[in-house]
Amino acid sequence: MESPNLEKTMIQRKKHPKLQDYRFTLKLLGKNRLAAAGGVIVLVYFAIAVLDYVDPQYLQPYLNYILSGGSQAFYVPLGPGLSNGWAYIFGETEYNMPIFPYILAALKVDLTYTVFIVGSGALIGVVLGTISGYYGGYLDEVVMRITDIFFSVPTLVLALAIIFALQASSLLDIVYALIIIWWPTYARISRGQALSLKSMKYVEASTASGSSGLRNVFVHLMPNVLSPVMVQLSLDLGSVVGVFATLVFIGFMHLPNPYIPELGNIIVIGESEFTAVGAWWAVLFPGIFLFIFVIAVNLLGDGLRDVLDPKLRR
Amino acid sequence: MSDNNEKRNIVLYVSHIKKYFDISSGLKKSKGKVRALDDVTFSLYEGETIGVVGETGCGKTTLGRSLLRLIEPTAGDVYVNLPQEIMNSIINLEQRLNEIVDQDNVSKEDKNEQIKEVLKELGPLRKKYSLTKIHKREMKEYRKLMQPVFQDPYSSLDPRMLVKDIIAEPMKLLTKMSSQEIFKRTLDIIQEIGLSEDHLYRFPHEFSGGQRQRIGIARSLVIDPKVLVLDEPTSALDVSVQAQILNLMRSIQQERNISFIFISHHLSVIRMMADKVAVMYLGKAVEIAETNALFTKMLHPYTRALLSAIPIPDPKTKINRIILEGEIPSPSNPPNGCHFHPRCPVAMKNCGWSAQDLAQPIREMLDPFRNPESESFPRIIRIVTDNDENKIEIDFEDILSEPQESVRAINNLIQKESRLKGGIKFLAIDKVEAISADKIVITFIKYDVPKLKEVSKGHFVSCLIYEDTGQVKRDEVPNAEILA
Repeated sequence: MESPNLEKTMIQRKKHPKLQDYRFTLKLLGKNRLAAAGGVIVLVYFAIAVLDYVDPQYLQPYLNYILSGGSQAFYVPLGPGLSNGWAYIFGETEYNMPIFPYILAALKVDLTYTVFIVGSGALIGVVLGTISGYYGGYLDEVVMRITDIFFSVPTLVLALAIIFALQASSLLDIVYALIIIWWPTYARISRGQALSLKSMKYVEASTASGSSGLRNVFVHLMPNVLSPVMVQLSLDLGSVVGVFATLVFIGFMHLPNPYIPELGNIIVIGESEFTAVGAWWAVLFPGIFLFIFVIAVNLLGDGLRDVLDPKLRR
Repeated sequence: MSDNNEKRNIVLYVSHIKKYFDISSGLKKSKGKVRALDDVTFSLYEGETIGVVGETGCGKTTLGRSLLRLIEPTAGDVYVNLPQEIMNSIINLEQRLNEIVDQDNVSKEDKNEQIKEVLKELGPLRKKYSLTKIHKREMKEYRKLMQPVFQDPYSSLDPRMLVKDIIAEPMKLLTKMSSQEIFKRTLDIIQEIGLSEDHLYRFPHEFSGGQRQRIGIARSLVIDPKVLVLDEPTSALDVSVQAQILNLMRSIQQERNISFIFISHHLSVIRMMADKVAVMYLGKAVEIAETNALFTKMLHPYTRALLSAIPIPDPKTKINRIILEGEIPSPSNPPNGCHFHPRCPVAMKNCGWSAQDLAQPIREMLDPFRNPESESFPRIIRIVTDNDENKIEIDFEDILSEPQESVRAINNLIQKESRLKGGIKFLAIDKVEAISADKIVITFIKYDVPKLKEVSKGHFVSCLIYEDTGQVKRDEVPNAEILA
């Protein structure tokens, strides 16, 4: 091969065929209207969370007010309306805290922790599951029996037990508890995938080229295990936000600050206002934000399931 | 061709390779063994193709996988691409060892003494050169020399990798080439196998079956191996594409002087591709011969039956099909002696008939509902087969009135049965004895185990009817006309 030709090919390589493949995936996803809608909503949520990180200035005064306990006096909270500025669109909750900025701050907290939980859970689960599926034998037996233990207790009960055992006193403790609970799902999914993939001839071909077992696991099995995991991951984003909020709502632990912006916590606070003075908006709006996110994430996950399989999508 | 063979180098020598799979249940190991591959020996010259044929489950694929050490062989040795003097001396030693083990008329101590002597020389060589003995870390050197091509082009390419990465993988793992060199080599090889460079930037699912198989071939060729193990490389493809792929492989072989192990159950493909053919049955090679010799002068009755199944595209031609009865036996409990004897149309009495084959026929012989002549016998309670001592015990419900008379009657029945079609197995009965008033024991003659022997030059067959002389023992073989 002459060098000019080689250079030409090198230039061609810069077209990034993998990127093109992702673009193609997105295009397919766009064709599924519901999934696209879900995707857009999820993106908006994440954009808000990122904005909270990048430029928290617009929230800061409200947040300071909320974290210091609002007005600390029992005034009747304002109802939803446009007349009092953007922060008061959804009205006020206990101690005259404006709900909208409260929710926006909570999205940041919730999404950060959720991504962290699902991400670490998936990482632990996929690595353990793929390895145990590939090697089999005693390792597989042990890992799978451990996951059985986790599956034998209802998620929420187990979460409460772990939080109690950890003597949780911060949101981070809930995060640890949920990671412990969440990895077995991924371990099972990826183990099942690995079991069927390890007998694929391309794994054998790579062994015949001198690839070690661990290299097979990380180079050949994991990328192929990942598509069902991605689906599960997107669905879990919704359920983890829900469970996280539920745990805070149940109020099993002593939070350092009772007014921590977290959707479940906002609903707890709003609930007392609702029973006291009939402030329905204090429960409804944070609830709607939670609900929309869970729905959107589920729609996206369903769409991903159809799109991610390279064989199905042609 | 056999004349040039003296000058050509032997690139691969496989000696008595075996693979037994454990039958395990749960955590408890080993309830038995499946003898997927049971003692196969062959050699392969540079640039030569050996075809491996046999029906499903005969161990063809296991052979290929064991050679590549994708599964660990239970026993046996594989030598590949050694300097010719070393290869020759190893082959000599292995053959001498084999001769010693096969000797019949030597005492056990003498045998062990001789074996020890040979092993003194052979042992270190095995440890150093045999692919089955060397450490896994050292395998890398040999993986460069032997590469597989798989049957199913749909599962043999990683769906998440670009073609260029798939082809580059062996080079990345086995050589120290720079990424520039690797890329250049990838480019060369993709053109050599008839695709173009923009195919490099696609995923496997964007190709047709034939193109995928070409990519698979490119991957195995890219590090210039000496031996390719082709495991049914065309059976998943359309017939028109098959021909293209076969032609491609032929031209590759001619250009690069690679040896092929061509595993297939497609006999016409084997006839076109292979220089010599190994026919396998139940984990054993039953006949190894040059292709022409095999297709014109097949010796083993199984080969005969197999080749008679090749369809001839002419409705007027009459084919003398040999239709084998029964099914292929389970490799976890293979028949004694020659594995093929229960289905063999020309089996002799010493081919391996034993208690496990005869329990059922004897029961039927003594059942008055099937055989009116056995009316005089009481009902049978049970028939116990003793495979270790190779005998059958028959328990009767009542005592036999006159044991000696009954024994004679049974002997008569056996004689009668042995004259019927398929009655050869009854000739394997040595004697019938009455050991108590209601118990009869039937013992069998000693059966022989066939060994792969060179009958004529380069033509190996493992069949007792050619034993000793290399000619059909016409007086002992029933239905000898089949072999004409």
